[in-house]
Amino acid sequence: MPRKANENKLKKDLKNGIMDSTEVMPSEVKVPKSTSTKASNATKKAVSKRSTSKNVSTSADKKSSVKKTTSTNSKTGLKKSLKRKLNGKKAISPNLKKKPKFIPVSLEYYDLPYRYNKTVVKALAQNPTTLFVYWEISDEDRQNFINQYGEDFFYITKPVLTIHNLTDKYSYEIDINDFANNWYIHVNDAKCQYVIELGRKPIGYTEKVPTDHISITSSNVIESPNDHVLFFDNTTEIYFKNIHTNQYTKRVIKPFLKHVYGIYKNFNLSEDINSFDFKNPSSQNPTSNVL
Amino acid sequence: MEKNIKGYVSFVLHAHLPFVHHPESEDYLEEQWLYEAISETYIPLILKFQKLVDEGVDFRFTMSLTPPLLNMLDNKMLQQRYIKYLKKHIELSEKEIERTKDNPRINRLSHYYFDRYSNDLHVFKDIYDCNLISAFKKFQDLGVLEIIGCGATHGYFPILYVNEKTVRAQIALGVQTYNKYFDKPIRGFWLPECGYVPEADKYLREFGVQYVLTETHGILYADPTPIYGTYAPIVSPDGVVAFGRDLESSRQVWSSINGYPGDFNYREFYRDIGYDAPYDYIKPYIASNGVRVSTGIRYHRITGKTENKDIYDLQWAQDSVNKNSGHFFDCRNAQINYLSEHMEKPPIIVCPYDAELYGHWWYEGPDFLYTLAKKVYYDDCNFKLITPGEYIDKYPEIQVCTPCRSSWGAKGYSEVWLNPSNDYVHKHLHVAGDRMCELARKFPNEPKDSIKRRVLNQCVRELVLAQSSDWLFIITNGTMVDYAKKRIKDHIGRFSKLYEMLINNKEVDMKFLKDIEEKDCIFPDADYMIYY
Repeated sequence: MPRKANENKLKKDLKNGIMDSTEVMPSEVKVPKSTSTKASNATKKAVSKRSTSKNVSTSADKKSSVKKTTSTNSKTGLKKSLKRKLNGKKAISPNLKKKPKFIPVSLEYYDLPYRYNKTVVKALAQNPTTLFVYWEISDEDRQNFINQYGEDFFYITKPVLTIHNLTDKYSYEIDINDFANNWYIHVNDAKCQYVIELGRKPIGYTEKVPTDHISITSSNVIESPNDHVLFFDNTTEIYFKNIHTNQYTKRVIKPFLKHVYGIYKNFNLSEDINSFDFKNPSSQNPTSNVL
Repeated sequence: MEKNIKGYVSFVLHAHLPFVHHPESEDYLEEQWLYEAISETYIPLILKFQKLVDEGVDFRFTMSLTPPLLNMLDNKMLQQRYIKYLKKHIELSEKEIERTKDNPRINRLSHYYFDRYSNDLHVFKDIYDCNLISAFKKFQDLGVLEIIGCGATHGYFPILYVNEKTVRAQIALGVQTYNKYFDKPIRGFWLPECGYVPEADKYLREFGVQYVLTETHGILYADPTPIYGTYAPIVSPDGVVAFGRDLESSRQVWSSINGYPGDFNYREFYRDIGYDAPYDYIKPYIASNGVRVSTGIRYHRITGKTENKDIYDLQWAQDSVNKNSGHFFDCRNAQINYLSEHMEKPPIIVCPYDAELYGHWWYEGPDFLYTLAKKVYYDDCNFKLITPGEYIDKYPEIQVCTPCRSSWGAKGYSEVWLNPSNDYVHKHLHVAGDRMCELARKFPNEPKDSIKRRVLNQCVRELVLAQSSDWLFIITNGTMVDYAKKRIKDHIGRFSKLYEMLINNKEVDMKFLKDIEEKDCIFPDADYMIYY
């Protein structure tokens, strides 16, 4: 039975009183897969440095290494715990002397809530040039906008994300849609701080919204990771710290430079970081997939 | 023999498993991860360390033992279930001796497995009294093993840090757990998934951490550029020393194409009597629902790239161990010879690996480490084994740089833990983190032994269990996805239920509380005030 069907059946059973669960389902709302679209057509400065499709294929293109031993038992585990639940009930009847060692208090079932009714934008860095943003607008704030701009505010405006690069001091907008609650954004510049602002723009001219952009809220500041060796562009001095004495020593970089080449040539920096042959659990190496 | 020491090699083994503890049922296959890891990795490592000590070999290894692993190793129910697991395996290997009597090559191996599982039981029960933590601690006390800490439940800092208090709490609980089990003050800290963000440094320092391990580009892409690359540590402006993974030695071990574990003489991981033996015969030893799963008893060697597998031969495997450790030894010698000409201080080659690679995945891995340690001690070479802690004691003058935000996941950043298959989770983790801080502020310093404090502390456990990076990894990896998703739902669900009780001032459902306290019994000493 598909997982969803199984869950639905359990929910039905609970509702019909087949099991007297003490659990309250936190939410009856189904969790639709949030619309996750790639922002490949970002405007203005957002010209792809790396192909967007590369970002899309985050997991699909990886070598899959399925450990034979790892078939999950959670489905059957759920059924079993249900059985045990019923057995457990029998066990406390006076006819049975032996009490099971552990009687589950209830069959637990939880769904993740679809939303938390808060106005928030959160930004995370997936890699040096891809940010992930998710957002939500509370009912109260939605109502405030409607009160201010009219009943059809959310129909005569469209959502936009404004990407502010705080380091290089530029901004650009990308259009999103009202079906989405998260987005992957391609950014051009690694090692920069960004803030993502959620806002709305009127669709065409309307007197009801006498501005071309209404800000809703902004995200946390997120720094995209660095993606290359910086070397010593403008650096003439470097610092050393004696971690025992906490004393700092300043040294000029020049005498080190001839050796830096000797050291860094080991790393074959012409290789892209993606082609570094790192094999670890997360690279799904058959010889290292611990789980 | 006086050696001309020009550099150092540091092995760091990261021992971690997610917290899997199901008192409600013995049918969760996921619980076997622990038993397999104990039999195939932790006990073999302990035995090899002991052998080196007994033989008078001066060696050094570094190991992180993560809090979920420590909590599980210390759990009485899991200890008992591991003994049951071993007894079943002894029974099976005894039957195997009979079943394979007509094939001398396989029969030798049946005897080997019988001896090995019997010895595991002896080591676990009789020698260490079911307490393997004390075994590792013993080697730390002897000075040959440096044990380092890790985040509470292996929460991935580069995503959690949007609420820094949740990262601080992961570090605080990690260090508290370390202090509970080990006498020495913590020095090193394994960043979960090597996920480095500079924002965590101040909290690492707050709890006494001196050094962390990062992926190669965590150092190479640092600002300013480290003049010695990964061959010397750097220190961040907040005072945390960072070591970077050496690329060359990593490739020699990790590479799925030509890495040592792929040697044709080594044991084949995927051929197991759980799949190969007659169904009715093997049924009592596979999953309770009748699904064939691996048992750990394997008779074949890798042999080649085809499905045709020859019988495993212990001596041939040992020959390959000698060959591979000799190659590794020679490569480090050459590497250090070259590097020492370019550096003012001796280079350090840092080799971090998952501990479970050694033994569980690469069955002969613990033998490799043992043979290598002996070679380094007895043979003529230009390097010594060292721990990162010893290295910074010897060479405290360290270049100041900010390491690069990075991880050791595929592609080097956060894609494994943040991609379209698992991105829906982060919102819930962030909200639960914020709510935990809200609870601590709203109900500070609840009296000890009060019900409210119990609820608040259970909230901590549910939150940190949900934050475990393993669930996100499993979802990305595509195996056992149902289990991982259920764990996230369960912990977020339980947390939310407790949160609602507290915020709405509802009567506490004691039956529910007791039930989840028993199931999610990690961190018995958790104190919710770390979120204050």
